[in-house]
Amino acid sequence: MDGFSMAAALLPGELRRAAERLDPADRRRCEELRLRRGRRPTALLGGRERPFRAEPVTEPELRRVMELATRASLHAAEAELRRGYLSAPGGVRVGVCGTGVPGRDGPGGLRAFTSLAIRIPRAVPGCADGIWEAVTAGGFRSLLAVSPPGAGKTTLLRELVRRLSESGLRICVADERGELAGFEPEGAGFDLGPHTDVMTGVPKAAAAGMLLRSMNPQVLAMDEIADAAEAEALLAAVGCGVALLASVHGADLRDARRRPACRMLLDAGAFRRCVTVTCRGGVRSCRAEELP
Amino acid sequence: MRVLGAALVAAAGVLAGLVSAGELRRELAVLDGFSVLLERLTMELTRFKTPLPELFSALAEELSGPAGRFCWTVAAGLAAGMEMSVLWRRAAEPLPGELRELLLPLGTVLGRYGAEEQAACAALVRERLSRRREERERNLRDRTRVRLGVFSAGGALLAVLLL
Repeated sequence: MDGFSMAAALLPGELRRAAERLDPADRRRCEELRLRRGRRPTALLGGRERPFRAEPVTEPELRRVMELATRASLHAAEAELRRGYLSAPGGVRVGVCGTGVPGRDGPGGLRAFTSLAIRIPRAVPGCADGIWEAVTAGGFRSLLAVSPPGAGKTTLLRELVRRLSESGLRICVADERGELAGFEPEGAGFDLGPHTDVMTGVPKAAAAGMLLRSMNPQVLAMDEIADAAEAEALLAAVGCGVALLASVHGADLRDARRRPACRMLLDAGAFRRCVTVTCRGGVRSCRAEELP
Repeated sequence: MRVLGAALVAAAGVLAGLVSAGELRRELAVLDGFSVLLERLTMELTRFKTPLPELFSALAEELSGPAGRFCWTVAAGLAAGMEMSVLWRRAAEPLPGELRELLLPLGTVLGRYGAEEQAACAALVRERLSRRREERERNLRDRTRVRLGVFSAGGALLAVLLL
C-alpha cells in the first residue's frame, strides 16, 4: 500500500471515496490531506491546497478519522496528543487541532477536534542523487539536513539512510514517531536498507542512548532535532566515534543556528556537512556544503 | 403404587427447584463473566493504556461463555476497522435484554476519550451490573424457594390424599 492509500485508509466512507477520486498524478504528488470542520476537505499539491469534495467536513467525520488513526484507542495516544499529533499506521503523521484540556502538570490533551492534517509519507528513490557525491566524498561524515516544514527533509533523510545502508554502513535510526520507517503493527513499511536497525515508539534521546549502547552503529540517524536532551544524546554518539545523520527545521543553516539544540551541536563541531532543502512552487532542491 | 406416585410428585417439585437453581447459576455466571471483563477493562485502561484491539483479543482468549464470545466479536470488528459504537451494539445483540441495555452506553465512550473517562464509565457499568446481579440472585432465590416449597407441599399433600 502506498503512502496516499495509507492516508486515505484513515478517512471514513464518503470522504475516503472522494479522496480516492483524485487522479493518479495528483495522488502521487499529494503531500497532505487537510480536514477542517465545516470546510471543504483539501489536498496539498505542490504547496497549494485544492478541495477534493464539495461538502464540508463534519464533526462525526473528524471523530471517525481520530478513531481510525488511533485504532479506537485515543487513551493510548494521549502522550502524542499533548504534542499535537498522532502516529498512525504506515508512518502517517496526523497533526491535530482542537480545544486544549488542562492536565495535572501542564497541557492535558486535546478535545473537540477541529482540524486534522494527514501527512502522506513517501519514499522517493533518487531524491538524494543530486547531493550523493557531495555527502559521501572521502567517506560519509556527519550530516545535518535543514529545511522548512513540509519541504521534504524526512523523505530525503529516508533515502539517505537507505543508500548509506546499501553502501555497507551500519545505520541505527531513532524513529520515535515511526515516520522514517513507516511503522506498521506487522513490521516496517519503507525500505531503509539491509544494514539498518530502527527503534520506534521511544523518545529520541533515550532511543539514541539505547542504540549506542547495544546496537554498535556506525551512523546514528535522527529526524527533527528538537531539544537539548536530543542534542546531548547526539553529542554522546559523536564522542563514541559514531557519525550522525540528522535533520532540523529551518529556512537555512543560519536560521537553524537560532535553535539552541542545533546551535549546541554546530558549535561542538558535531556536523561536518550540511544539506539545505528548499521547496519553491512545488519544486524541491537540495544544496550541500562543507562545514568548517 | 400410590406411595410411588406421591414420591414422584414430591420429587418433581424438588427437581423443579433444582432446575431453577441451575438457571440461576448460569445467569449469574454470565453476569460474573461480564463483571470480570469490565474490571479488566478498567485496569488496563488506567494502568497500562492498552490499545483496545490488543485488549479485546487478550480477553477473548481468557474469558469463556458469552463474555468471551462478546470480546471475540469486538476484537474481530476492531481488526476490520469497524466503528466502535456500531460494533459494540452488534456484539451485544445476542445478550439478554437487561445485560445488553447495561452495556450499550459503554460503546459510545470506548476509544473516544481519555483513559480516566473511559475507565470511569466502565466502572459505573460494572457497579450497575453488580447491583443487578444481587437483585437477580435475590429474586431468583426467593422464586426458587417458593417454587420448591409449593411443589414439595403439593407433592406431600397429594401423597397424603392418595394414601
